[in-house]
Amino acid sequence: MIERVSRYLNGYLRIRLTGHNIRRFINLCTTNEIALWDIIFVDEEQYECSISWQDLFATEPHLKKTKTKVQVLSKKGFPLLQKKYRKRYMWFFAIALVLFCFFYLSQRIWKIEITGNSMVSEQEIIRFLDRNHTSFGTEKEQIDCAKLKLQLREEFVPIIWASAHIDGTKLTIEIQENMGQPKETPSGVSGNEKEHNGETIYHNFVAAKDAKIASVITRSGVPLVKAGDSVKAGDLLVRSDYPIIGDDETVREYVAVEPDADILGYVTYQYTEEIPIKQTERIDTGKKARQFFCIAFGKKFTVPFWNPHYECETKSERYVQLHVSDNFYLPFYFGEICCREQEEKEIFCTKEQIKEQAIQHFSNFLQELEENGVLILSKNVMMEKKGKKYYIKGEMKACEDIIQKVKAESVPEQDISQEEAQEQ
Amino acid sequence: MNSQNNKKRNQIVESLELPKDILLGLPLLSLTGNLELAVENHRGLLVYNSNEISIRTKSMRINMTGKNLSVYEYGKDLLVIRGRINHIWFVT
Repeated sequence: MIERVSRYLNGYLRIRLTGHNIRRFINLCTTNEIALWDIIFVDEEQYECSISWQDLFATEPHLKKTKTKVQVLSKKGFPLLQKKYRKRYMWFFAIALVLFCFFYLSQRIWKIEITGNSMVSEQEIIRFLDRNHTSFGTEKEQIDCAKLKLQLREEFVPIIWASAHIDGTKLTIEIQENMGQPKETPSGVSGNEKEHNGETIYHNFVAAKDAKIASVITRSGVPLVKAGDSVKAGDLLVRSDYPIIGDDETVREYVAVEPDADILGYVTYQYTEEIPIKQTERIDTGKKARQFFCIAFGKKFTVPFWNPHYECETKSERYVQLHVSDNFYLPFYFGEICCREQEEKEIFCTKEQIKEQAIQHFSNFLQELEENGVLILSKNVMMEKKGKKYYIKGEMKACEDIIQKVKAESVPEQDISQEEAQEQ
Repeated sequence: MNSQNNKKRNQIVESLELPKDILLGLPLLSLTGNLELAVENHRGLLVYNSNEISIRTKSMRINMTGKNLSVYEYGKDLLVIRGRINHIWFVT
């Protein structure tokens, strides 16, 4: 194969041999290391074969010896192509330019794919990558994947395993999160003690909202509430300073610990909503127009002098990134904006329609609460009509974690000294 | 006398497990189905047309018949024949 390519690059001739001793001529050529290929038998006195144009001159004595005649049928190869397209050198220049652009673009990252994340959002990771000089268009050589995956684990607590690898122009980041651990300040797990100006910062747990305590499990710290107590938002639930009581039953000193507890409380949620009977509905008229655009190196270009829009419309945009293969992405996007004309129409909703809407909104509200770890115990919802509106009022009893972490005050040493002074 | 010499040489080569193609000058044939035949250690073509080819080697003649036979590659060491090969036989 390599030999064939080299022959093509050097150029060769297709010749016809005529004579009585062609086989002898062929054998003589081979003995004298003159390469012939694609030898085709035409008839007893005629053969066709290929030969490089340098070798053709070397065959002259053998042609004379065997009384064979040569007729050049065609010239083939790159030199001939060069000669043929001599006037179209701009084509070669353009091809070379395209190849250079491909080479240049292949040295950079044009797509970042993040998989396996649910608690840490894609935007957060991309912002983190930006800060670490790994973004759209960064040179591949500058990216240290091993370092990046370590930094990812250090930066985001929920990430327990991370992998970063570059395939073509795509940077793939695969992460695995600890699903048992909440994203925000962990309450069920002991909080981290962070050093700040050489001092260790401790936290207290306070009530995040008004509630009636359902259960208290304290692993470290001093609990100040018990099951059945009513607390208001901001009330102290667990203290970080632990009192050491002496033999005379007075507080000798306070030892600070990072509190660790699970405190669940019964919380009441109020739900109110107003739905007017007269509503404005937007209906598609069926008319639509498209606007095409492309994005190159982060800049958007739309088709000039073509900007369709309606008075009342909805716009939807979709685009695709140009890629040569699965992993070779380029910094070009092509897409379209679809504008659909709409008509605003005022309608009067029936009670059933409003009920449907209310159920839909209320179930969305509940779903949102449940996603935040709230357990709904009971719910009571009523709908009543007043004038031109329907009012939906509801009350829900829920059980949820009510802990909020706040920075603890320094250990009250003054209090101890005052107490000691009083004793003296 | 000549055949006796050949026999002895063959015995030595076999007992020492030396490559026969180099020491005895035997042709090395690689056949790809019945579509391609590569011959190493050849000494040139004796007969060549689209239905029959005869190749000379140091110790024998390799004849073959078939259809649309052509010499794809013809070098000092290697000879490649392509086409539909029907028969191959050796004349010593």
